[in-house]
Order: sequence, then C-alpha cells, then structure tokens
Amino acid sequence: MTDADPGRPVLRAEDLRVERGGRAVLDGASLAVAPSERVLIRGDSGAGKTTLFEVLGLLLPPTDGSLYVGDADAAALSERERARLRRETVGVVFQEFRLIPDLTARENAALPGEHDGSVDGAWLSELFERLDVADRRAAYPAALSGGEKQRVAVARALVSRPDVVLADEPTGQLDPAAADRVLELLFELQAETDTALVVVSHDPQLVDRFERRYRLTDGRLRTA
Amino acid sequence: MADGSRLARWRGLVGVAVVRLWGRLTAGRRRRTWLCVVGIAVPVALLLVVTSVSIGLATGPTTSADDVDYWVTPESNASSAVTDVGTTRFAGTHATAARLSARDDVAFASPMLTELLAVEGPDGGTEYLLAVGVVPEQGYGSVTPVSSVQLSPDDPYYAGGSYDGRWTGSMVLSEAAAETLDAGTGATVAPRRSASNRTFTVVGVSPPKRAGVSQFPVAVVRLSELQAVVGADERDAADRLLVAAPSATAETEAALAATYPNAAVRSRGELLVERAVDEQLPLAMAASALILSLTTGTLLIGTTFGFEVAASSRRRAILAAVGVSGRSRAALIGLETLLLALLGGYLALVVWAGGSFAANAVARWRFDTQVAVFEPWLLPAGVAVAVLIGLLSVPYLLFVGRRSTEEADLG
Repeated sequence: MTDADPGRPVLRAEDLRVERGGRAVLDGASLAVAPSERVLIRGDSGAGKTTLFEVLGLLLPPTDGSLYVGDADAAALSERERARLRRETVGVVFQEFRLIPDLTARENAALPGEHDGSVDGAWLSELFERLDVADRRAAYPAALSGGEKQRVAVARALVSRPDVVLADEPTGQLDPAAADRVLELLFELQAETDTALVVVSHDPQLVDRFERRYRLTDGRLRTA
Repeated sequence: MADGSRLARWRGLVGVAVVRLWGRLTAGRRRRTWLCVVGIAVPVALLLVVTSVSIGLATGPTTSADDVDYWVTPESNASSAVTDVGTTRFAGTHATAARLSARDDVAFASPMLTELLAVEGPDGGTEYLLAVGVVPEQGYGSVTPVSSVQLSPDDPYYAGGSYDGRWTGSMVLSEAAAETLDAGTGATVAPRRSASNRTFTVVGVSPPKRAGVSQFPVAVVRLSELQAVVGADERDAADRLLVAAPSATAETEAALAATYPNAAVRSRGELLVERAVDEQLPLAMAASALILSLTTGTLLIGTTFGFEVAASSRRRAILAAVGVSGRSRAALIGLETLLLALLGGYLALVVWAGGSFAANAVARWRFDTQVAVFEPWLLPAGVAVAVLIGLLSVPYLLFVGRRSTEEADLG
C-alpha cells in the first residue's frame, strides 16, 4: 500500500468515455474514491458495469477521459508502469474467480508478488487463515468450492496491500450463504487494512452495506 | 531497475514458470503438456542414437584399443586406422617403446605393426589377414582391435635386436579370421611371404570388442615375429607406438612427441574427432540427424506448445489483471518453453539409452557385433540440442502468445 493522503482520492475518474462498436458504453462517467471508502456501483445488465470495472482496474484504456490512481495519470504511463501500478495499488476480484487452474490456491494468491519476488509470505498466510482457506492452500482450483475459490481470489486481491480493491459481482457465482461469508470477510479485511473498496454489482441486497452508492445509467454514474 | 530487483524478478519468474509447468504436468491438461515434452524428446533421442551409431561405425576399429591413451604415429599417418598399411614407419621401435615404458608417467608402451598378410590355412587355401604385431604385456591385452590377452608377455624372438631368440609362433585370430581360414585353436597358419618357413599356431580365437571389428579377419602376433615375416626386422619398423598413460601430463605428451622427429601424438579424444571427420558418411549422417532433429523438434514444439500457449490466453489475461507486465508474461512463455525443452532433453537421454540398447541388440543378433557406442559427451550434447530447439521455438510462441493475449477477454 502506498502512503495515501487521507484527503486525496485513491482513485479518480473524470469524464470516462468508452466506445464499442460505434456505441458509447461509458459516456462521461466520473468518480472519486477516498481511502478506506466503500463504494457500490449498481446497474442493469448491459449497462457497462464490467467495462467501468476494467477501466478502473487499468485493464482497459478509455477512449476518452482521465483516470488517476493516487497521483499517477494512467494515460501517461507505459504498459509496464501500468502493470506495476496495478500490482501495487489495485486489487481485483472477478465474478468468475479467475484462478489459474494449474497453480495451487496459495500459488494463485501469491501471483501478484511471486513473479517479482515481493510477496509477503506471512501476510499471505494470515490472509488464508482469516479467509478460512488455510487448509486448502495446496489444493488446485478444480478441487475448491465456489466460496473457497472466491476467498482465494480475495486473498490474491489483498496480498500486495493495495490502496483500492475492485470487485466485479464478487458474489454473483455463489449461493446466498457463501456470498454472505465472502462479503463479511471482504468488509472485515477492508476495514482492517484501510483499503478502499469499489464493488460493481446488480445485487439490490448489497445497497445497505455501502456508504456511497452510484447507479450506472446511459453510460454515466449518478448518486443513488 | 536495480540489479537486485531485476534478479529478484527473474528468480520470481523462474519460480512461477516452474510451478506452472509442474501444475501442467501433474494436474489439468497433463496429456497435452506431456505431448510437448515427448515432441522434443523423440527427435533428440533419434539424433543421439544416429550419432552414437555413426561414432561406432567411424571409430570402431581404432578406438577399440581400450587401454591406449595415446597413439604416436609418423606425421603422414597421423589419423590412419588399423586398416591403413604400407605407409611411413618408425624405426628402432622396440628400444623406443622400452625407453617410454621406463618413464614413471607411462604405464605401458608398445610398437604396433600392421600388415596385410597372405596366409595358408589348415585346408591349404590362401586367405588374406590383417596381421597386427605388438609386444604383449600383462594387463594390456586390449591394446589391439582383437584381444591379445592369450599371448604371454614379452617378445623373445627380438632378442635385443638380433632377431634370433625363441620363436613362439603364437597367433590370436578374430572370429572372422578363424571363420575365413576355417581354423580353430591349435591350427597351423603359414604365411606365404615367410622366407624362413616360419609358421604360427592359433592359441585363441577372440570375439570382437566393438562395432566394425568383427568384419575384419584380424590376427594378432608378437611384433618381432611379424617383422621377421614381412621383412620389417632390418630397421625394427612399426607403424605406431601405443601408449597407456592414464596420468599423463603436458610433459608426458612432450616426451611422446620427441620420440621421433616426425612423430605426431594423438590422444584418444583427438583421434576420435579426426576419425569422425575422416569418415565422411557417418559425419554426414550425424549432421543430417542434427538438422532434422532441430527442424522436426522446433516444428513439433511450435505446434504442440503453440496450441497450449494459444489455449492459455485467459491464464495470461489473469496474469495481466494481477499486474504481471507484458514483458514478464513473454518471459514466462520463454522460460516455460525452455523448461519443457530441458525436460524433453532429459527424457531423450532415457529414450536414447533404450534406443541404443535396441540397436545393439539387433546388430548383435543380425551381424554379431554392436553398432552404437556410448560417449559421455553425448549426454550434455543431447540436452543442449533440446534447449536449442526450445530457443528456436520461442519467437513463434511469443508471437502466438501476444496475439492470443490481445484477444483474450476476462469479462
């Protein structure tokens, strides 16, 4: 985690615009996320939530607009610098877990730091303990339940102590009990580590659990 | 990037590549990954089998002298084989060999004379043998292409150069020679050129020691007796000096080179290389096998691992999502390819051992000899060729990886 100024947003998007097939999926979306803040972005299917998630996660460059991660202007960075920024300051959780099948649970979670030798093994072990998957660390994804996979994905998102965690429908593939458990753990760890959390979801049951809520309509973010 | 963090990054990348490859070999799409390994192992193993057979064919008659570390030959005969006869010869060879044998760093030295000899066998027919004359020594029965162990040590007929000592007439025949002459132990063999009507008695029939030897009808006798038969006794002539000096130093080699003004000293390794070059067919076989194995290996790994790389686009998209840069993802493809190649190289060594054993078994059954030889340097050479195949495949695999990652969708 970088030393974020408490008053300065860890993530700031201004007038984001993304066009696909001649259609504007995002059309002037703006958002600022403060440190430790929980933000929910809701929207109907096809509203562009996943596109917004990819842009905020530095996975997709916007057609127009600006994105700042901390003080860094994402558009001004090289691919390598963007990868480094993503690795060190942004954690991502996907709807479909996105674990690599030929790596064990621990190896998957360690990936962001493992490949450059910066992984904090003690912190990773603590995450596995806290997320109740310590005894599954040597298992391959095929042997894990949906809830276990998502908890491993949460560990992967938090292992590098990022400034912000982005989650795209993190409970979309889970049964209600597993979904509750994953969210509880995610919130708990987010609060303890002062990490900002941005969840993109269409699930109406999540509304009460977030301080700030937005709705994505016609490619724009509106306060809900 | 500082050197320390660059090292940490590479160490981390190698670690990730190793665990990913291990995962692929033991879990998930195992069959496809093992197919890639076999795709490298088979052409490399074929290369090794062809090369070891080529070396066997090229060097069999000469290097079959297991106990010999150096061959000292007249300059013009430097790379001649046992079968080369009638060329420049050394004189005064008994005395020279005795002088060399007296050195602390020389275990054994003997002149060796080879001559094509017309002989009359027990049935009265005339046949040609390749006669080899040496001074036998206890414990050095393997200095000749056919074992001379059945000849007792010393060369009494030489008698200090007077050539009037005791004539032993002992002769060891190769199996091919015994068959040609239809002669067994105890049979009398009479050289047609002998002015003194000297004859030899067969004291043993020796099986061939290595590839190529069994085809030659070879007879091993004591040096002075062969010299007397062929008229080489006047100058105590021999074609070469065989020297066993397992702990030889540069000083030893200098002493060997100083034996005669025109002496050329060849170690076992040098002779093997020269023979391989001289024998152009086996060399061409080995070179063709190298080119073929590089081509087929590269095509096989390019195809099989290319499919694997293309099918792994989502995995690389996940790596990108967690902050692994494009350069690191490319490095992972390269490292995984080289690790696969390395694994294929080691598997090739196992297949080579089996293939050589099979080739020798067939050759023994069909021709009563063995054709493939084991040379230790082929072990690292096989692994090096496998790694070279991996290196040649990397650019194409990077291209496939780049294209498929760009098309991957994580949404």
